[in-house]
Amino acid sequence: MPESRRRPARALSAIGCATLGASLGWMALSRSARESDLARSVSEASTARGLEHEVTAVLLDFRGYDTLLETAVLLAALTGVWAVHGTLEASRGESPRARGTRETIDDPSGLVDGLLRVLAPILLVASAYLGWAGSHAPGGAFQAGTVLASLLILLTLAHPIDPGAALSRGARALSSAGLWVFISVALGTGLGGRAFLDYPTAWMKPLVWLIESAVAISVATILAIFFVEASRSGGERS
Amino acid sequence: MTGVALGLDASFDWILAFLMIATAWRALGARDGFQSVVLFITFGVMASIAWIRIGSPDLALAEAAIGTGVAGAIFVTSLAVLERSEQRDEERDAECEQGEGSDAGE
Repeated sequence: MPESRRRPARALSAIGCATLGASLGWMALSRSARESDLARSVSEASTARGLEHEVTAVLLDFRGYDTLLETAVLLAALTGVWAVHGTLEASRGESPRARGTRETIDDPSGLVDGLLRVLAPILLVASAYLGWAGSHAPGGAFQAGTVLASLLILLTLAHPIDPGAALSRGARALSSAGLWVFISVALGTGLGGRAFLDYPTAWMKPLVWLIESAVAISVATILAIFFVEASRSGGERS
Repeated sequence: MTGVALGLDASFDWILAFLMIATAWRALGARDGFQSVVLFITFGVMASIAWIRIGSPDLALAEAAIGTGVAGAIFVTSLAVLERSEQRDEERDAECEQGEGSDAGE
């Protein structure tokens, strides 16, 4: 598009962004937002439910349904990436060109491998800590999952895997484990005569821990597969 | 940091806010893809600091890990793959032109 025709569109989006920014700023700075006792009531309610950290209480207890759907969105995104990228065809190897080539890094000095040796245990422990800390301090499933994903990404850089391996039964099971566990717990509470995702307070900690670990593993697998797919060139469409 | 000097905190926040907008502007306007990606990662780090300043360490962790780490890694490799496929296209175009040239010569 020529530069002159782009100008009105740019001006419009600039006005829109400015309006949005100004209204958000006004809302954040207005008295009602500061004086609301929402934070206090959330903190009281989460302590009553046995979760010391408010963010985890909101994410997994008060708004558990939102987080359940968030987990489903990630899985849907992964399916979308596979569909758009033609991974199925590539893994069947229908045409040699469809497999594409993988972007690999030359590592003659063994730098990535050496780094991995140092970082892998640290990342593993950090990820486990973040997941475990989620119930009483900043952390949680998504953060733990991402740290684990960074370890997996480093691993695929040092030891390239076949893109087809991302479609293997194990990878698919791990990617969907979080959603399955979440739905099972939700249905379990339903069968126990409670509302959907209304965990009994006594079971709160173990159930939240179970969901968070499963979601963390799924988040890690999905993000790592995103990276593998991104580093696979398009193959057929070249 | 709080309580040392009120002015220091406020000026840190203003500088951060200004730098974030400036980085976002340059990332969007950069002609070179790699420059855009690097600026985007820089922006992510600053956004993560901003979340800490607001008092949301959870979001800061998520922003640093997902928005900056994983997204940055994916952008950098995607860029490499894109450049490689562009290179391949150019090579193929060059081959086609050569082929036509030899046809005309016969």
